[in-house]
Formats: sequence, C-alpha cells, structure tokens
Amino acid sequence: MTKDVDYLSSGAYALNALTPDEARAFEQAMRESPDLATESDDLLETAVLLALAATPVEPSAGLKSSIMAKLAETAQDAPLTPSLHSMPNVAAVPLAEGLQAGQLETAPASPDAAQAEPLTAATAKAHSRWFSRPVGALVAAAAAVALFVGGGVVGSAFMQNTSSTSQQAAASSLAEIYAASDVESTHSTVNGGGEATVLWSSKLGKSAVVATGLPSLPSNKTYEAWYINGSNVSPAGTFTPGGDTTTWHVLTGTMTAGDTVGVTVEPAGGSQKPTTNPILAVPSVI
Amino acid sequence: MLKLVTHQSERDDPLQESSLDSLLQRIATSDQRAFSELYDRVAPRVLGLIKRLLVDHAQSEEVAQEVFLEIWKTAAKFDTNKGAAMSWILTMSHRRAVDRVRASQSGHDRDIKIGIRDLPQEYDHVAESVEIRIEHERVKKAMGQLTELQRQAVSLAYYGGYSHSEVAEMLHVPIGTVKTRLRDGMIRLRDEMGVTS
Repeated sequence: MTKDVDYLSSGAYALNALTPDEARAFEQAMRESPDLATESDDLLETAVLLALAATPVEPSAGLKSSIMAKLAETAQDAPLTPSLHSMPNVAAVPLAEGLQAGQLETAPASPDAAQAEPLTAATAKAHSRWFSRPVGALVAAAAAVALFVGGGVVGSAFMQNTSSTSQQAAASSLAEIYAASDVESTHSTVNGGGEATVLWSSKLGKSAVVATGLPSLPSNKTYEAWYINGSNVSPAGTFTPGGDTTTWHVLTGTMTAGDTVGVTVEPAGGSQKPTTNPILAVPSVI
Repeated sequence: MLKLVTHQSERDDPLQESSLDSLLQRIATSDQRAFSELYDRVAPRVLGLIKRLLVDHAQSEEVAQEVFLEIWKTAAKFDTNKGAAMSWILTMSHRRAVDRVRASQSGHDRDIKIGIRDLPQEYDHVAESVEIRIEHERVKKAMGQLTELQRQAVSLAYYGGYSHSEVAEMLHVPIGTVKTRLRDGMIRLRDEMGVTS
C-alpha cells in the first residue's frame, strides 16, 4: 500500500529536494504504486516548466569545442534491449580462420545499421567498442558485422601506427571542425560503394572525410586523401576503414579556399601523387 | 504522458528543423553532427538553468559539460514514450546542478538569503524570445496562484537547489511542513499550467 508519507514526498522529489536515500525510497514506492508514479511524473514535468522559465545564458565559445573534443573518447551506452546479452564472441573464430588461410577477400561494403536504423544492441556495442578502441574488441566487432575476413586489414585509421595521443589529437581535430562556426559539408556517394560526408572549415583550414560503407581493402592497398587545386595535388594522409561502419579521417596539411577534397585507392603506404582515379572528389565551394 | 507544447509543435511540423527527439536518436548512433545541432539549440537553456542554481559562470559551464557528455553517453536510453527530449535534458541538468550545489563548498557558502532575494527578480530579466517570454508569463502567473509560503519553498528548492532540510532551516519550520508546502505548491502549479497525464 502506498503510504501517505510517500505522497508527502512527491513535490520534494520533483524538485530534487530529497536526500539520496529518501529519493531511492521514493523511487521504490513509485514502482509499487502506479498512482504515485503518475503524480510524480506530472510534478516532474511541472518542474520542467520552472526550468524553461530560467533565463537562457549564452555559453562561452570554448565550451562547445571542449565538449565536442571529448565525444570520441566517451563511450556510449547501449540501449536497453535484452538481446545485448546474446552478443557473443562469434566473430573471433571465422576471423582467425580467415587470417590463417590468408584469404584476400574484399567483401562487398555492408551499409550496415549505424546510420539509418534505430540503434541495435550490436551496433551500440560496436560503437562503444569503437570509442574505447580495445584492439581485440574492435576486431571482434569488425567480424561480427561481417564486413570482411582476412587480408590483415583489421585496423582502422587510428590503430595503424598511431599512438593514442595522435588518436586523441585526430578526434579533437574532428570535433574542432564540427564545432567551427563556419563549418560546411557535402554528402555524396563513393565510387565503388559507400557514402561520404566531407566537412570543412575555411577558418581553420581543415577538413575531414566521414564515410560509411566504404569497402575494405586488401592489405597491400590503402585509401589516401588529397587536396586538389587545379594541377596542384597534395597528399593529405592515408586511412583504412575500421571494422565499424563509419570511418573518418582528418586530412593532414592545410586546406585553402577552393580546394577539392579527393580520395583514391593507393598502394599501402600511400603515394606522393594519385595513381588511380578518385573514388570521391568534393569541391569545397558550394 | 505530457509533452511540452513547444516541442510537440516542432515535432509535428515537417518543415521545421529536426526535432530534438530525432536528434537524440541520431546521437545514439554516434552522430556528432546531430550532437552539434542539439548543443546549439539547447545549450543556452541548459546553462541558464544551471547558472540559476550555481551563480558562478565557470562552475556552471563545468556542470553543463557534464550534462552534455551524459546526453552523449545515454542518448540510446532516451525513451520518447516517456516524455519530450527537452524535459529529459532539463531534468538531467537540474539534477546535475543540484548535485554540484550539494557537493561543493560554494553551495554552503552561498548567502542563504540570495535565494529569497532573487525570487521577485527572476521574472524581470530580459527575455530573449517570444517563446521564453510566454514561458515566463505562464510560470509567473501560475506562481502567483501559490500561497506566499508555497512559493518560497518551491523557489528555494528548485532555483536555490536547497534540500528540504535546508529549506526548513531557512524558513524555521519542520521538514514535514516543507514537504507539504512543496507538494501542495507543485500540485497547484501543475493544475495552473495544465500538466496532465
């Protein structure tokens, strides 16, 4: 039975005026009484109206970039679904076999869940792994979504020859571009499979490619980004898709106004000049 | 369950920018772009509420940062059936602000009278948009229907971040009396502002 004393606390609960112990007891009482829960929900909503009446305050310019810079390092929770527990280590076995057999299999790009669908437990897990980036977990996640097996290209742009400091620096750069006041972006399809968004800030002179469903490559190939300005073509760093469906690369070097951002497939290690036709070419002027 | 009117209309209008709800869904898939947009739209309100409790700007930004990282972290758990995104975010913001008030010495150092003195001024600030002015008016009107004692208790608890025992101490009344005033006051506000399940 719901006691009067529980009802007595509903206002204080909505206003966060209870002690933590009292709040826990109240939440327990709510679980046992739908009426109390209804009253409490209503009063919480009423408190939100009090929040809306507080005068908005403009944050300092640095707050947003400071937050954005921390996103890539902040693991996201999986949604509350029962299937979470059935996410096994299935992947490890076929992956290991693939590696042993030395298969060079370029699986078709799998424009998988992460973008359009509501988050599934699997992608959520993949995401949290992505962001915490333990090597084994990333490998498992990669195979779990069946992007590719073998070839040894199990790395991502972050994992190959990059220290965690430079990973963080890259994540910060990406966040900085997203947070820039003049950020622009263009979405396009990639020749050969996948989609890519190129975003850039002229103020920062920086740009990044964020791609989904990019086909994985055999170990002797790599993706390479370029700044193209007329006949002037500058290499802007190599990257390989990780096991996740999303790959991003912050271009090295400085973007100048009017540059086209291009991506080609090059021999592993990258080239000084493009040796193949671009699979993506996005002018930085709309 | 109640949805706030402002966000209801936003969600229903396809010509409007993405609803906060749909932004949260995208954020749950690690979409930083969606997060950036959500930040731009709600940050002044989040910070405004936190600063109302903490007063200090730098500390308020620290707490706002915690709130936004929590949004990023827990977006997948946001349940649209349980209310509007803005409610979720502001409820979280208030909790975090209260936690900070209780945890930090500055909370205890605050002039205990600030809460009371600020009350009548709360509604006199320059509103930045019609929408906010309307919210102010609604809340001001509804608050006007409370007894003076209820209004004090509700404002001290919500905007001051004081616990019921602190409010009791400030007003020299027993805790049970404060709880009663808070509940009666909130129920009156609920009825005045038309919040119903």
